[in-house]
Amino acid sequence: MAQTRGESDRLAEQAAIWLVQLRGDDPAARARAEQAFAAWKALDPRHAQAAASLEAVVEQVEGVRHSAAGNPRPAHAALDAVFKDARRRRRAVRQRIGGVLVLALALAVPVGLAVSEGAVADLWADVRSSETDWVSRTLPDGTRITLSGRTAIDLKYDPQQRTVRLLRGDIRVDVAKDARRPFYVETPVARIRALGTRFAVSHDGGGTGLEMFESRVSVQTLADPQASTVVQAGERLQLTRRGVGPIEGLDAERVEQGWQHRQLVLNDRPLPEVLAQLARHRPGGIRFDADQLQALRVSAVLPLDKPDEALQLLSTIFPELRLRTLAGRWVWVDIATDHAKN
Amino acid sequence: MSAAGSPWQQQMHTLYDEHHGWLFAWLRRKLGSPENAADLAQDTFVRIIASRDALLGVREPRAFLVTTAQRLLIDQARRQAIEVAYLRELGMAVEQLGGAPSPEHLLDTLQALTQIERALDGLPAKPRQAFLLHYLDGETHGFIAEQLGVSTRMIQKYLVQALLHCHRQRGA
Repeated sequence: MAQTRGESDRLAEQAAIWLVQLRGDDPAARARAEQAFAAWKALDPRHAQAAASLEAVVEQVEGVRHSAAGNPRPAHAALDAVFKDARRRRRAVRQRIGGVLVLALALAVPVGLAVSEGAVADLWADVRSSETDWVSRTLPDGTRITLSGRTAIDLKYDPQQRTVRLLRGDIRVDVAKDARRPFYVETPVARIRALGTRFAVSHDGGGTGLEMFESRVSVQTLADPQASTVVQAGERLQLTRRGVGPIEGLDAERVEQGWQHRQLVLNDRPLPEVLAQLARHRPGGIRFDADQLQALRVSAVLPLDKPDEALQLLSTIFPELRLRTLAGRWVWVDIATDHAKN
Repeated sequence: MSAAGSPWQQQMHTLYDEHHGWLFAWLRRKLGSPENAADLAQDTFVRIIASRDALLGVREPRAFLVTTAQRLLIDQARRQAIEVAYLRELGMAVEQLGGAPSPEHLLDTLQALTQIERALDGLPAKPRQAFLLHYLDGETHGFIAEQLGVSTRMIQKYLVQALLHCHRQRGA
């Protein structure tokens, strides 16, 4: 007894209408629908089958709500994240078709051309590394680049210029000399022009960090593309959507050695920045509220290849920090506000 | 193991022998990590084997392999986006929940969310919002109508549309 496609669609639609009426706002109408639905299901096994298949859809969604003790927010946030990402992707494609030229004309320097920050965008990156990897490459011009942790870059080399687009993560570059082709690192918020050789750049949702080891670079931000800032060896600074942060001192030699030994060498850095960097080296990431931890500043040397040990070390430095682990994969870091409660 | 068997099996063997190494190298370049590349190359063949008839008439086997692998990568990225967002919110809610859920329970939930996301994929925004507000948040038809600025009847239409969409996606 083969069922035609049209017929099964019709039955499914009927069942869906019943299910929706069962959950209407009017109690009397709900009671009537319940009786009528039961009668309809009893009429034919195919009706009951169609009903069961649609009820399974509803049950799965309701099951997810109950999974967080009746709090639907986590599930809602999770689904929103994906659908928002899908919208952004479509928008990014449209921008690339129509918008690039306009944007390029609007800014004196086309800084960070519509680089999307979504995880999906990373998939198409030219070179990627993952949590436990360090990837070193020699680029066609002889420039050496190292990617550490969850990092993605795109390369754009042409006869006029050499550009590394940092989509996310941490890189260290040792730029080869080429008088005719300037070398740039672009992030979604800034463009860094190498005037000399060795430096490191990191980027995540919070912004771009720049650490100079040797010689100088000139920096422009999307916030103020007309202005440029020169950063010297032994200096570091933070670049955000709002512009250029203050220039701070850096122990260039030790930090650069850290890159060789897979260590994070920190001198008075805000904890959220440190956790974000550490999170890129830890499968499963690290979850924290940046605002809550902003006041804590870290001076330490942390092992990037052993992120869990690094976290333990941080909790020794800051006894008020609370680490909670789930299944060895997920970690939450926050400040235990109420010790008596636990 | 002999390569003899159905023509399909032979085709599969040929595909594997001739292109597995190439696919692994391609993915390794793309992903940067040899372990991830090996896993993904394996998953790509598993997916092709699972959908048996997909091989017929494939003229560009490498393009076909890359498309399949990229689809897997997108699935992976969406799963990750779900995981990150869910756990971020859950972490904030853990206090009120009185203890964290068990890992098994958590994995089940993440898997269910991935399936729900796939079922809702392609549905226009308003029916999707109505569906989630009703079945996930437990809001009434009247309340959702107010939120979305349409009539209660329209909400019921949206819900029917969403249920049917999920039903078809799951069947597909």
